[in-house]
Amino acid sequence: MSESTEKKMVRLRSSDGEVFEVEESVAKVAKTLQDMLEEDCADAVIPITCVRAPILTKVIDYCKDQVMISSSSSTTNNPNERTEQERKAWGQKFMEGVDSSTLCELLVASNFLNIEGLLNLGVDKMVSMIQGKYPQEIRDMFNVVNDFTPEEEEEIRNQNAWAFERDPYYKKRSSSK
Amino acid sequence: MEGKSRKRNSTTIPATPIHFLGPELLCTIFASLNHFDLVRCSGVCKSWNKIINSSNLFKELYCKQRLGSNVSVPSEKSLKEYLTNLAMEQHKVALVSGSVDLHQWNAHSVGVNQCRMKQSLIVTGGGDKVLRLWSSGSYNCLREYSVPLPDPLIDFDFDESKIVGLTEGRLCVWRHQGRRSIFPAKEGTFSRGLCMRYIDPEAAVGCGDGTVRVFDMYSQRCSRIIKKHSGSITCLALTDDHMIVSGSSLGSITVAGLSFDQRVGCLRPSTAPTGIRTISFNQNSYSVFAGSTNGYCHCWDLRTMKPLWEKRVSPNVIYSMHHMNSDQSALVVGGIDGVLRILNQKTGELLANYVADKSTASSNDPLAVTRRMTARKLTEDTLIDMVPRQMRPSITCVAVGMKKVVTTHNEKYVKIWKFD
Repeated sequence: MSESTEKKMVRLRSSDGEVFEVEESVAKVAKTLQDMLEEDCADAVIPITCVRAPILTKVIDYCKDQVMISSSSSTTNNPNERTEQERKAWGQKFMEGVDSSTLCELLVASNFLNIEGLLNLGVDKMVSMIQGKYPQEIRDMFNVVNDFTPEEEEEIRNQNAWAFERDPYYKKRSSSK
Repeated sequence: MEGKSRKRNSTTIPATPIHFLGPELLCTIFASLNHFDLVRCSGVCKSWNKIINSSNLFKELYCKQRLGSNVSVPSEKSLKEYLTNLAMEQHKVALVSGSVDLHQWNAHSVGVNQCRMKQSLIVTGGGDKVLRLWSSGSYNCLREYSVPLPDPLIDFDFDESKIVGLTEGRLCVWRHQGRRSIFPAKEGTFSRGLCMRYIDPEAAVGCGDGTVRVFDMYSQRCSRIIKKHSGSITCLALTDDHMIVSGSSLGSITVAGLSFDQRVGCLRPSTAPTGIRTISFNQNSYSVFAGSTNGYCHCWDLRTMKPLWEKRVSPNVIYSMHHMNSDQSALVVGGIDGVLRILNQKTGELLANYVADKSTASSNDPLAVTRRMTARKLTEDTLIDMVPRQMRPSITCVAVGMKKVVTTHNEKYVKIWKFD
């Protein structure tokens, strides 16, 4: 049992059945997995039931990067340590090109796996997508069905007319007869 | 990495993965939004609406804005009021800040003198036989309503379900579903209709003979004729509690019930009576504002019928004044001298006044449909007569929306002033 110097691997299974093998240190970036690993169930394949393979790939990318930073920052004069600004830029690059549905899945995954940094990146991205948008734009972006009756929608708009003042997307729907 | 991808194709990719974000996650996201975005999000769908309204997000926003002071968490009602006030404060600050984007577009084939604005929609007309509905973002004409009568339109108003227009002797209602009705029939026409306002189901028409005729827009009958003035009725306003405030060409303003025959009283300008040209009523503060032909603005409290202030804001005729429904601070005034004035609703004090700026106006292609210009804030000691006339065409009507004002000038074009 002299495996302590060798890197311990952990296997994760996505909801669609794909198995990923990652270093334990990478998996441990996710607090949920860290807790599980500390309770010592490392031999089995850990099922990540609510995360699909493409999303899990992205999550693992994130975790790997975190490990790289932290391992280098434990040594002195680490070249990989980032300033606040660099971290921001990196986060932006990491989320670049992530579409709205991937973003939602990433949020669910980082919430489930308890990865605070990734969750914050996702929330920031989501906020930037919503800011300054009108309801119909938000619905289109996230595929949300408008389940208000025309009367209900009208009431919400009238109650806070100031927030909808410049809404160029709103078309009054004819009420259901 | 390809692993066991046997089921990959059949795996159901959720059509709306956003529904997997639980209330907690959504709240984390919503917590980073400002009050404008938050209110809009509450209008996306039922579940978002429920999450936002059952959360403390609005309260937290309130506390954040009041940082430092000892905050007692307000009730839901006052919270709503607070957010509205915050929005109105921003609106007012924008109106007086002096940074204006002025756009004008060719809207009609003959000069028009009236405009109305609700949310993001603008209706223009008056003087023409056609009303046009515009988007305030793109200035695209969304719809057109033509009047099949010999006389041009004089006045109109609209809401989400209909447009009501007034010609000299008749009313015309275009409903959203496309049905148009014109009334009254030939024998019931009134003479010299000069102004019109409506509150469902009734429309009130001010006439040249000093009467207000009230029509039920559904039965299309004249339900009552109220004799109000000796002079002709030039302008009127209706209140939510069914009062009619009307102004006459001889300078008197009377208040009466819409559905019961009772004259409540008279609002009297203290200055020598001159014709009242425009009336605006603020339901929230119960203030009645009136503008007159000698450039005076008057304000009364409708509850006490007492004057609040009176100021001469212009050397000449005031044609129009307007404010946002929920705004109790800024009153926008326009008149013959073509200066767009912003007054304090509570004191009548002049907060800012604007004219178009020639520097960019002249560099534009005069044939372009939409022209961009800038506007200039006048300083207190600017002599208006020194500002060239073409920079300040007479303002015949103003319509105010969130951080913007639409004006007509008895010209083919319509202007929109966007403040930020």
